[in-house]
Amino acid sequence: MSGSFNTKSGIIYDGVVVEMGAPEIETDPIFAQNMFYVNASLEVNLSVGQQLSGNIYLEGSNDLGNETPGIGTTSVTSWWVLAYNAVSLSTATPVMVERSMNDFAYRWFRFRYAPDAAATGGLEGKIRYTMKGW
Amino acid sequence: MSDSMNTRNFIALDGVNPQTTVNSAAIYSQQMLYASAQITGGTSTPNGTLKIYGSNENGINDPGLGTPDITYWAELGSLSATAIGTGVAITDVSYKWLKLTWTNSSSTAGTMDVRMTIKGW
Repeated sequence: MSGSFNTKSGIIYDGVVVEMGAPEIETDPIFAQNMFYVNASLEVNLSVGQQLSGNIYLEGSNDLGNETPGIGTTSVTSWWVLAYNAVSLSTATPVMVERSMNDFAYRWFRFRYAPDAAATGGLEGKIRYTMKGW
Repeated sequence: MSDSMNTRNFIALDGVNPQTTVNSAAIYSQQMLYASAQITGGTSTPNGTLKIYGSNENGINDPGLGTPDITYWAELGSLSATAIGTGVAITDVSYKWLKLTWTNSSSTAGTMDVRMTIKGW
C-alpha cells in the first residue's frame, strides 16, 4: 500500500510443472489485497510428444491466511474460481498460457493448472505473475 | 479516506447458523470501490443465497461511533452457494453502506463464516 502506483511481478513456480500421475499444480497464495489487476502465466517448452492439456484457473480467497503477509507461512484453504479456460497445446515449441482479470476484489489469488487425460507429465516450466494496484 | 489505498479484510458473518436468515452489521464503505464476500469456513455444508446490499442512507453522522440506523437496502450482488469457498464480488461500489444477507435453502446444521475484503481509498 502506498500513495503511488504499486506493481509486483515475479516467478512463483519454477521447475517441473507436472509429474506423471500428478493431478494438478497450483501456486502458493499470492497476497493481492491492495491490487486491482492480476495475471499469471504458465510457460513450458514442449518437446515432441508432450502435450499441455486441461484447464487453467485463476482463483481468489478472502481467508485471512496470515495477519502480516510476507512474514511466516500462509495457510489459505478456501478458494473460489474467478476465471478459467481450457488449454490444449501439443506443438513442440515454447508455449505460454495465461489468465488475467481486472477488478480483483479478494485478498489472495493463485494460479492452477489441472491436466486432463490427454496431458503428458514431466513438463518443465515456470509460472510468472504480475499484479498492479496501489 | 486517504491518498493511499485503503483495504480491509474482516469476518462479516462469524460462526452464524446457516439454517436461519442472517444479516451482517452495516459496513461503512463510502470510500471503497471494490468488495467481495466469501464463505471461508464453518462446520456446516451451506446451501443458500448470499447477497451484498448497498444503502445511501445517512445511517449515522460519525461512522464507527454508535450504531447506524438504516432501513432501505438495494441488492448489488448475489451468490447461490452450496459449499465453503464460494464467493461473490462487486465493483464500482458507489453506496455509503454495505451489508451481507444470508438466506438458507437447505444447509446442514453447524456454523458458517464469511470473510469480506473491501478496497478503495
